[in-house]
Amino acid sequence: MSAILAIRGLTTRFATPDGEVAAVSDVDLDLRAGETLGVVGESGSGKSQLFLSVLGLLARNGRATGSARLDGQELIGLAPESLRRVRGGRIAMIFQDPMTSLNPFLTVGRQLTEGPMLHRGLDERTARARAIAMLERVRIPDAARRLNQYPHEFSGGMRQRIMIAMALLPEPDVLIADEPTTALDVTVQAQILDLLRELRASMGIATVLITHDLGVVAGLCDRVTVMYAGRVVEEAPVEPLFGAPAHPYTRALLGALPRVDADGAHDLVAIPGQPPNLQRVIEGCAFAPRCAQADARCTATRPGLRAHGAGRAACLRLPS
Amino acid sequence: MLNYTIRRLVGAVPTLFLIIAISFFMVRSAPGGPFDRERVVPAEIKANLERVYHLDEPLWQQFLRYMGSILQGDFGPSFKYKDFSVTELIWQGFPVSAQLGGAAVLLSAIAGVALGALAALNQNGRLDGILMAGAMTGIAIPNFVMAPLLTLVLGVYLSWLPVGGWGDGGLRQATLPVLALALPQVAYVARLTRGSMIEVLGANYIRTARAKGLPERLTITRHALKGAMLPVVSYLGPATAAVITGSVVIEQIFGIPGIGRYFVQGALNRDYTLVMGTVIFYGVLIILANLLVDLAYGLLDPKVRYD
Repeated sequence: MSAILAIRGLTTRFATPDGEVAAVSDVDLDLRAGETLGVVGESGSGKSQLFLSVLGLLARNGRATGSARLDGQELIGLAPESLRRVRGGRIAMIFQDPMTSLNPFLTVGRQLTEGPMLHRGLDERTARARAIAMLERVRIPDAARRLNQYPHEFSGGMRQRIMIAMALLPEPDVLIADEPTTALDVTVQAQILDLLRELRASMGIATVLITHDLGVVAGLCDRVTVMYAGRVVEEAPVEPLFGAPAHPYTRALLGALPRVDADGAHDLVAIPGQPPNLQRVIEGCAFAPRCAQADARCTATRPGLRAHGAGRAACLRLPS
Repeated sequence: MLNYTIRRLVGAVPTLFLIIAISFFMVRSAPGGPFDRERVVPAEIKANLERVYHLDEPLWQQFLRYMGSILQGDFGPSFKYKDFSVTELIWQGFPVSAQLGGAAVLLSAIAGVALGALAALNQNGRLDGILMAGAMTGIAIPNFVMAPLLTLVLGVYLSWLPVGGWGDGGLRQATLPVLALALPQVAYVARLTRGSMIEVLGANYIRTARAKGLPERLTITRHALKGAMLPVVSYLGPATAAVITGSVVIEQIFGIPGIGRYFVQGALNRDYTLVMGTVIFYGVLIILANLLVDLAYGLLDPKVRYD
């Protein structure tokens, strides 16, 4: 299947008072039509910045280079006005914190309708009718009345449903969900994940799910990309990745995952050490200092992504 | 909202009482009295005058008498402007002061917000630097320095504008006093707006608006401005107070026949009733301005509900 979003050699740097920080380094990634791709990694691994780069939403001191093509159209370096039409219209994004991501001063209805009115040229009445239908679809009861309410009149879970409705209303081709459940409590998380699963089945929209929660990935994704220190270290379909992780970092992540089905003998294994400082140029494998299998080669040579099993992995210790 | 307003007005009564009590005793504890002149007045005449105005009574009795009369809406006769009651003098000066002060508050709000927003959108750029340096200067220079400086440059050297008087409050006459009164407030509001605008522009919901693909102009006018305005609106209460106190100085400098000038003259002449009248009037004005600001805040922020 062809990629709807193809990222090649994407690098994102931030100018800081202490020097440049490479948040994303030379990332290749494909999102195929209709699939749900999980992007996992710990905080600071560059997974959010990667997609903010694609949408041109970086902070002022950020610069992205490389290539990101949506259906062949290059997005990196695109004129702001053209990129603006892509944002929200063709690629929608929902964010981690629903409590602060909605504008507290505008009614929910206003915030839901402005996207479709802008990108689809709908008049306000049609846009409101669609908004009501979409709110019902994300299971917000009494939608017509609630359209006139303000965000503070909704709970966190409800607000995330509104964010999802808002992202989907302009009928985008790609949905990027950046840790959509992280800020919510567990039962609400489960409800939102159910909703995403249901929408995936009914709408078939290509989705990137950025998360550090491997449980979410297992339940929702077709493929997984694992990022570490701004680089992709492994990518594979969900089952092989969970069954036989190739990269030591992926293995370590899975080892750090609590399991309810295991007996008491299963201990959580924390990954020793800290992620590297991205202000320094890393010569070898970024994970080497924390990796039990690392040898002299790992600290000297940077591994590239190579085909491995059903996916690809960047590790020098893998048999070629 | 009506309930809230009534509650606030009732709550203002003790405040007002304190203002009256404190200023009553302060004015009377100042040395000298309303009938002291360079020429010594014969003791019998002075005693007569003091009896007529009840100044021979003990202070607490004078205070009770004064409270009694203002409760009936009578602020007494002016000691100095013999044929006028204090109420008449205040209503005479009020239209002029209201024009001057209103124009200054309006100018501070409009110019301050515009300049502050401009600075925020050019954050750390050259324009931002120039504007904020100007704002710091504006805040640092007191209005009694600003007024003569403006007069000197625009009025004397360039002869563009009249250096004093009010006339009928036309644009030419009003420009210098309004500018002198408003500039420090413009500067302060500009700094306030810049700060809150920068904070709002970094908010998550602005990122959401951008992610929606809204044009930058719409992101700012529809999504950022309202939130950025809140601190500015809250400041308009204190700004009104600052403009009122400023107008006391400015009216004196430019010879403008407003309440502020009566206040200064009243204080210098120990015209007790006139000083008290203007103080109470200013007090009521500031209390009302703050109430208005709080009500406006409620209209802007949907999380604030008054009932």
